Amino acid sequence: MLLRASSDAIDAGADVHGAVGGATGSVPHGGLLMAYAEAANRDPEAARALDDDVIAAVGEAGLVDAAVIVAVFNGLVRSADGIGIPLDDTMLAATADVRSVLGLDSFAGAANNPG
Amino acid sequence: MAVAGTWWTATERVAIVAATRRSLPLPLGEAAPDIAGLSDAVGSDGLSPLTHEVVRRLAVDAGRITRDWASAAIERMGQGHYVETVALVVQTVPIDLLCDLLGRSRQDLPVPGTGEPSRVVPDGLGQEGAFVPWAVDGWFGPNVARALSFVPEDNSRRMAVVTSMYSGRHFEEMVWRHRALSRPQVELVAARTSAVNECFY
Repeated sequence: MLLRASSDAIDAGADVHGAVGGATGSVPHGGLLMAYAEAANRDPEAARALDDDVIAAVGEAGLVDAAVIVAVFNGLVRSADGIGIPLDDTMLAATADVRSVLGLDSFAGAANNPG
Repeated sequence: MAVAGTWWTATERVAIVAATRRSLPLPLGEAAPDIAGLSDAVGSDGLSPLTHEVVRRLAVDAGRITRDWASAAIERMGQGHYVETVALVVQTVPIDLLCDLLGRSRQDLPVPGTGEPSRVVPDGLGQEGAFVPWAVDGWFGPNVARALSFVPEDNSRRMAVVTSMYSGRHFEEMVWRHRALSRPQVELVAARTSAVNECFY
């Protein structure tokens, strides 16, 4: 939801399919950032092979930003799954279409939500 | 981390952090052990096989946590020990991972202090659909921010890490100018991270 909302705020035209490895729309360097996120999550050491490309695209500070976001969300997802956090009511309603399209309702945590 | 927590001693807390760092996925095809069959007898590092498995699941296989699994773990460990274990894992993983991604050495583990856990359950908790009770009285905010409110001090530390690494004071703003990546770029990386980890929330 925040990807779509923040993209709409600047008419950036993000494609939410980027969340599941698909098209990223017109997010600048979206494909590279998505590839970095995937690599950083699956094999942090291997992800370093993308450092130069990421720096060339978004600068050193951009690389640090991307790494920080991967890192902090690795804590957040474990908080959510470990505690069984149900989606907030507003989020549950606002993301129904996206969750269906992207197949997120098949994740184990979907069972923590009503309906 | 190196002081007594709400439910674990300082020595146990540091051992949980060390166990988080050592956690590995199970070999392909190997079934996770049944929580009910794991011993709660403490080993040489101060943690039981039961605690080790809970840490392992949280650290490397959290996307497959189900209500049944969590209920079994909580029934055996107690709500406080379980939530504080989650708190320690989720404070350790982001900082270690950031070090790994940037090619920096991980922080040394602290020397545990002394003292006894307070074992205080805060007032104002209620059951609202999560695996454990959380803050309900006067609560206003996203569920993720109160997820670990059963152990308020660790929850505050965790949220300080989250605020520092993610949004700063700008969560409600859809246009960010305080960091190198734009907000859509940040949210794309965040969304992909959540999906790779199969996190519904």
